[in-house]
Amino acid sequence: MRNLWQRGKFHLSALVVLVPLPFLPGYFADQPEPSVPELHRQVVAGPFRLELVTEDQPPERGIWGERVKEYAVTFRPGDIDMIRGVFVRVGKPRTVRTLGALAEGGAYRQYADLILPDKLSGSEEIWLTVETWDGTLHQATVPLREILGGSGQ
Amino acid sequence: MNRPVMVLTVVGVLFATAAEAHYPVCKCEMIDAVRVTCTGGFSDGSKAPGLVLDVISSDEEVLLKGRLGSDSTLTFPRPDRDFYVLFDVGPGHTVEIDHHLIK
Repeated sequence: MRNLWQRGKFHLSALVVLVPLPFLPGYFADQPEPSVPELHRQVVAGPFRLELVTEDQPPERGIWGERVKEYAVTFRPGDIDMIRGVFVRVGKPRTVRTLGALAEGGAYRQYADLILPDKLSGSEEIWLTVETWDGTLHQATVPLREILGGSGQ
Repeated sequence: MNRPVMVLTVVGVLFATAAEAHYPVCKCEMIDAVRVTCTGGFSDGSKAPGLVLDVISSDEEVLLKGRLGSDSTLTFPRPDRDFYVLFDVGPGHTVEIDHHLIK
């Protein structure tokens, strides 16, 4: 029996490698991509034409209890060379220290986590600030209710 | 690949965690009739000892230039005029809390 095991264990391990084979056709078969509807708003801030994008889902709760929603900012090709940073916040920034959440990502699409007030009056605006490499600030606003997602609350 | 490097690689892979963006978070509350305690940290649950938390009046006068203590909190007397708390982790990583939300 021991000899049989010693002789057969190599071949047995080779058979284990073949176990996934029956599942491969299903793995490679065409599957519909999961898609979540998105909300898009065009924004013009000075010379820059941007797009603010978010999933059409209500804000989530973070572990501190905060309401947070992720927004993407997309750029026209080439614009990113002039842009030092894009900041997003709810309400008009008080100072340059409080421009909002800095979007992070690639040359065409960057993301920012936006903390939202617990209670909304419906008149809040998202302020988007584009800072260029020479320090110039360009700002634009979008009504939050238009791009909040979910039930709009 | 020699053995120690291989072992370290395997251990590294097993204990690797996904890098995930996190943002600063801050909460403030009255702990008695006159004092406010603010707690700062990050959305991944980590604390932020030593980071800047300023108290600023509504006309932008800095009333208190503070830093969070080792327990990631800062306690200060509530100003007698309108103010907001600014938890400032760096440009683009700030949290503001307006005075009327501190109860």
